[in-house]
Amino acid sequence: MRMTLAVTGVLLASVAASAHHSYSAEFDANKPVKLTGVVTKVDWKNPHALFYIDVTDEAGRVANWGWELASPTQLMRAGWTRNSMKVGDVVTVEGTLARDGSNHANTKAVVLNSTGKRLFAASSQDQTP
Amino acid sequence: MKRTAFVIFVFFVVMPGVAGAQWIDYPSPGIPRLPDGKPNLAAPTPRTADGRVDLSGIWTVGNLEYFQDLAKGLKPGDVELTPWGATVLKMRLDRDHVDDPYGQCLPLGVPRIDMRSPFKIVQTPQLTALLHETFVGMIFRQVFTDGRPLPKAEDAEPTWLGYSVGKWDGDTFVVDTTGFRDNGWLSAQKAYPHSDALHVTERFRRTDFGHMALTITIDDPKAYKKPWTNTVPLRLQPDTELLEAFCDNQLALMKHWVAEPPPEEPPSPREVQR
Repeated sequence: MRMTLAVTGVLLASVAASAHHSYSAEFDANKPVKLTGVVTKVDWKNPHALFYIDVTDEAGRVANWGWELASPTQLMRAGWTRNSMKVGDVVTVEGTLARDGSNHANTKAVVLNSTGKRLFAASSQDQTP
Repeated sequence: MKRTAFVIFVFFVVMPGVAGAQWIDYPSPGIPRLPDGKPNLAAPTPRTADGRVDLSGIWTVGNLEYFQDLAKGLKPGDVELTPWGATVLKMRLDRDHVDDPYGQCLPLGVPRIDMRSPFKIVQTPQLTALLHETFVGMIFRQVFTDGRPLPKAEDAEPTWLGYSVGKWDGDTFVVDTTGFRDNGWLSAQKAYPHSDALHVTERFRRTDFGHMALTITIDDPKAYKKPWTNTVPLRLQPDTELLEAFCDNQLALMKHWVAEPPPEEPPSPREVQR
């Protein structure tokens, strides 16, 4: 089981990392970020899908964060669908911050908090594009 | 009675399965299968009715290594840049290849369009079509095998994908392409440039049912001191289909773009530098 999770993690990371050849114009690989929040929107679009989460800090302030994914075609071939993540799901996301200082990041891994599972764990490495 | 049972079987057992099957994993008809139902990728190379090798199918490199670096695995010295080629390459690498037109939702050129996403080969006697799934749209190439010559350089409007004609060399399908736009990109991360003098030769050799060797020769006397060649292994992607992808999210992504505007690259010299 632990092995399966590790392999899935590697797969998600590779899908995300391979996503954007102009990554460095948008994100800083040296600024990791990990946040937990409630999904507010999933934009299943090209060349990269985006999803948004509301993150509440200790003082109760809510900030909306956008997360960039690979393309829907890549995600679909890796076992994701547009319904893999739903509005209202609580997720913990890891990635790298945008260079422009906004609430925006590139996604490396997503965990669904209700089950503790990495989302889209059904993906198989053979199907990566 | 038997017939009724068959109809019931089809309606309640077979059809829901068909209706529920995804576009993305629908079993391809007419391909050899192993006893467990999986595609037999080691089966013999298929042939058309007229005895040619049949290249039909969806093909993919399956990784991004050649997309990032078309010279992957070659020896130092195999790729020798001209002064213009070296200048343009350095400009691109100094900016960490962020100016790749593909990142601006523009097309991939030839041959790197073969190396990014799955593509389908549709083969007919007079025309072979290459249907490419890319993030920036479904893109097709036409390879004519009706005997027409390549257009003369002075007559051809420069294009992203060039003009392609094909011929058979034994069991290998040889595609020659010219008529490209200047200042093109052959790779993403390695950002190798090409000029409007580029002549690409793609040799497609299907070695068995599930595998193809794609040998690419880059002959561009304005960008490289000599032609260079690499072979990219392709594998068949059975039981799937091409997926649509058009750039409908580009504005939302570009809001976070922080790179300075790109410097203007010099056009290739008018005369061949080799």
